[in-house]
Amino acid sequence: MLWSGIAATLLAASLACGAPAEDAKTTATTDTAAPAATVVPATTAQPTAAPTVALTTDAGGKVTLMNAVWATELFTPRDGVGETATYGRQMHAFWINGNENVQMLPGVLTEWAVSSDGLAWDLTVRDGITFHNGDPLTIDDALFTMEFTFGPEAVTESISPSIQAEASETASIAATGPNSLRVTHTSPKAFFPFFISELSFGIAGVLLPKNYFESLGPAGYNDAPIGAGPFRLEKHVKSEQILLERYADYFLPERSPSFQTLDLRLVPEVATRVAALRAGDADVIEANLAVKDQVEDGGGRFIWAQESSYMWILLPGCWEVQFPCNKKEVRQALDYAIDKELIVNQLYGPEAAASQGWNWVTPNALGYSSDLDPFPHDPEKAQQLLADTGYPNGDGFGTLEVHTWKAGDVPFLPEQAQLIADMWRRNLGIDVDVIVGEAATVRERWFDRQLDGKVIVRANETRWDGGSITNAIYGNPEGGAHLGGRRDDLLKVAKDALAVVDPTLRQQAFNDAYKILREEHYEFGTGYVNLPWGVGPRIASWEPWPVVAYQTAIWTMQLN
Amino acid sequence: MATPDLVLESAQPRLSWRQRVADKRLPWLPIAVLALLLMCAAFAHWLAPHDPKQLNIINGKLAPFENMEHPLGTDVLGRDMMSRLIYGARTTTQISVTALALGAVIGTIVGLVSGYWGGWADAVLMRLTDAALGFPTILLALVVVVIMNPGPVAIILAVLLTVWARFARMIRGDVLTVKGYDFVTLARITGVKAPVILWRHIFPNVANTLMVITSLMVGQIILLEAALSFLGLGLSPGAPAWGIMVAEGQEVILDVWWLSLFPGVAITAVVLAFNFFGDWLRDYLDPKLRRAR
Amino acid sequence: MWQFIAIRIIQGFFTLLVISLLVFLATRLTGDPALVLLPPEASGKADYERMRKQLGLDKPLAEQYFIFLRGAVQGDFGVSIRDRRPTRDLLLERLPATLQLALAGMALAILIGVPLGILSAVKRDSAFDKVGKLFAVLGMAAPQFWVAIMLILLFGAILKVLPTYGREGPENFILPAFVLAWSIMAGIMRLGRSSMLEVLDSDYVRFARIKGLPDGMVVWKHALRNALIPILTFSGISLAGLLNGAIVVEQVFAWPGLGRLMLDGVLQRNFPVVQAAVMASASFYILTALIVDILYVYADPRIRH
Repeated sequence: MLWSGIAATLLAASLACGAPAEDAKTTATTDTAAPAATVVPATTAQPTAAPTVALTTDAGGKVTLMNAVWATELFTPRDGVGETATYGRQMHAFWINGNENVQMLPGVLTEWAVSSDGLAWDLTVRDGITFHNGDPLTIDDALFTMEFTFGPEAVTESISPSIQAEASETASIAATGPNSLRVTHTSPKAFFPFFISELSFGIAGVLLPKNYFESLGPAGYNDAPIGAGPFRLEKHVKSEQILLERYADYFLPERSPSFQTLDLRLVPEVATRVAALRAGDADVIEANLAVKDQVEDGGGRFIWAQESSYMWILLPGCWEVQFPCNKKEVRQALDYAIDKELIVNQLYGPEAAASQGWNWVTPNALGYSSDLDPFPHDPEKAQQLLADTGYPNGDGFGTLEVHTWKAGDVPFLPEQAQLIADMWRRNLGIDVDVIVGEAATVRERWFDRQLDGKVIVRANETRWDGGSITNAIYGNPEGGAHLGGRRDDLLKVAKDALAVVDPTLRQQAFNDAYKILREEHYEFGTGYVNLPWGVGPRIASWEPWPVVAYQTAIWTMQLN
Repeated sequence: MATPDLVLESAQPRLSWRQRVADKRLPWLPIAVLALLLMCAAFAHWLAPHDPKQLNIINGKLAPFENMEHPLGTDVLGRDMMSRLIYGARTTTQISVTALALGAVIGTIVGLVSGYWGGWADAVLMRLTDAALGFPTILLALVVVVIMNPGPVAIILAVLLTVWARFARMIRGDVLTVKGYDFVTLARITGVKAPVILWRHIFPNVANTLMVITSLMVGQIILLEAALSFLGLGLSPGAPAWGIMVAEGQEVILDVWWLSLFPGVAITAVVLAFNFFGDWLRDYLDPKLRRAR
Repeated sequence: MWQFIAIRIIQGFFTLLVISLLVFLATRLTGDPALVLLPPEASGKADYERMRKQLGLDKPLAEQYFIFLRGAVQGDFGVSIRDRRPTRDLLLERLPATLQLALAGMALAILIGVPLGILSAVKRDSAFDKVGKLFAVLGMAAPQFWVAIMLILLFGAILKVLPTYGREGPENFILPAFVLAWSIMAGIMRLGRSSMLEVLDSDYVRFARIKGLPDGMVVWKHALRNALIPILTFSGISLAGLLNGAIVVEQVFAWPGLGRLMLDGVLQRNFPVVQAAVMASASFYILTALIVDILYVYADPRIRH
């Protein structure tokens, strides 16, 4: 999941064509040159998922939560790669918050608005926020953070390629008033607010305390970080423990935790985590389906974070004419020949997975509709399609290689690949080899185009707004591993959809595009899986958000 | 010219094969375990009741003796445990035998050359040997597996890269001793060529060491395969091999206990058997050591 | 004697040089960290080239190796690719955890193994002898991770007498140290046993017995003295092995040591981290081997010639 960072900026770059026209509709521009009104529906901004209003006094209580992977264990936004979210989310305040319905909500920013040309974002900073050391969060801190995250230095200093790319396209960052600043880009960036919101990956959108940070320097800050989030860091033992204490003056009381101490632990082995849960040494653990009975036998239960990963069947290189899969009908035949319901139900069970949606477009994602759900299992049609394209009973098809690896987040991928291979052999009569490799090696060979004409079975994290993935695969003419710009028609479909900024129109635009792309079958999937959290008896309730692989909505966690 | 055999035999009175076996109290239990292992390995395709890779997810998690179709139960995906165990013996044997054979050949040649000629060849070869021994074993294996893709070939190569050096080290030590014996000096003086001396006179005298290390090394190889599987870099999931079976079963050890128990016991039994057999062999071949037992 | 030591030290440096070349080439063969770091859907060539340049991977191999060697000589192993922190800092963070565990495991192995060996020699061929031997050898024969998980479940989750993970207090050391200790106990026990047998057969023990000294005292005093050097040398080599081999135990017990650093380093293609960890553990191994050799020479002057 190291690579889970979204290349959101790649998407934004693609908005260059067609974006301004769409922009104008959504932002109620009063003056074409001036900043437009906010896109945020501020009236509906209150989070709805806080069952109990948190106390401002010492709430007491401790929750021990075990993760399987932590990222860099650094705390600045430049270090924002995937799993920094596991701990960074708890300690930091984000520019923009979100909710379980993928809406952006005011966080440190109360308003954000884009100019009609899409180049400049005007941001308004909230009053009355304090950092964990008591210092107020001022416009200076905001400017400093923005400069630190997206200024010219970040192009080389950030460890995240996504942030590097974003920073390289940032033209200027300047204060426009006592509480407001403007970020200008070299090309339109409709995606910018999402990128700096807590809905995005990692901790690219968190705020730093200027004076504190400057007095310590980056290394010193990472040793004793403070933020403005719901928890403050009490103790950090590298690769072992991150102990967080509730911050009483957190500026969003409805998102303040109902307990005092959050003890995060890094425990790589699931068997050890289960033992800890059963022994009462842990309250919440990252689990997987295989350990369900062991968790329940020990007096615990599963709480599911819905749609955390999707299971992906990729046919790279099929735009090259020498491969049988160059014909769309062949690709569709491969899809029809798979009994996805059977695979999903037997391998994962109905609670853990469903064959719904198309790749990253799961039911909670933008652009979903039920007619995007997988193709039905229809072996006869599959055989017919294959025969029509010149491979009756698989004759002359050659051997199809299926590459996969053992993923940490989704169990049974190699088994799934075997089942798929089995169905192709049986239903289509073709020869199929399953090759289980090591994750990074397979990915490297794929990027290097060595897997063209073959099949990749893998899992990927879901995204609320799959735009970045859509752009990388279909909207990026440079793309080497994916479709790139090899099909101009699909490139246009993707770009047109991505250019739509208005959230209300975007759902439909994405949906239309996805229907076309789905029909092409350069990729499909068996469905998505939910992420189970093993929860001990001390936790009364918790409502983690869907479509996120990390612990979310800690403030909904109630203790017994 | 003295034959190497005489050097060996001079240490003990000549006994018939039958007498020697009776005298040395053959380790019957380890031999039985190893015989069973080899039989399973050789005849897996006849002995196994099912295809070990056949998924049958409707029949998943069958407990042992619950359904006599699958006497030792099935795993989470409905693969027959007994068949997987039997084929596992084959996989294990294949990997160990290949890796050991190659390792022994390379290690012996290096050890012979290094010990016999000494000088620069010895210096260079021994630095290489030290380097191989100083390189963390599991790490080396990880690197090989990552480069080559997980699979039997990668594991064999990984094992080979660490194993040869141990052979080389031990054999070299033996050669240094044997080199000083009169019959070698005599052969050299009479103009026998070096390769002939190595093969005819020295090698037979280090063969004992070779056999003992080999039998003690098998266990290490099986355990290395298991450790790699546990770290996610062993054989492919679903492959009929004991290491990966234990690794797959450990997540559900309380619930589907038979998944990791049976292969775990199989590994332990075979490693134990090889160790006891190796110990016995060492005593048998080297009467001086017998007392220490 | 001094000449011998000097030669061994020079040899050690050559061995390290060979290892440095091996680890350098091996890491380069595992692939391209720039590709591993790129997000899955990133496919822009520009991102990739920039990443390679930042990591210094665009330079010729020979130059990269030279940079690595020059740094290594000064104890500088470059910056970790994953998080841009100095690799030396990462090593120093992780080393104590591994060292503590390995030493605890070694101590436990000696504390259990030596008395067990001596007792089984005294009660030679008794049931105790056989059971003790079986117990020690079992630890060597069972897969470590399997034993570790069973022990955590038994003592942590079911009996609830020992912690399941972490390393806050001495009780946290018991299970992981035992798993490590058990894997090397057979060797130590055997050394203890054979030394003891030698002592029991020796003239001075027979003589002491005739003099009427209490059996126990004679046995323990002489056997321990006799067993000391072989057990120390065996322990030295085993300690080096434990440092290398603790990957599995660290993984199961969530122990943030060197082993896991190496494992993550390989999986993430974090070349500087892998190089530094290998050089550190190889240096330790070579140093231990050197000390063991010197001890041997010291103990047995015949080897000197």
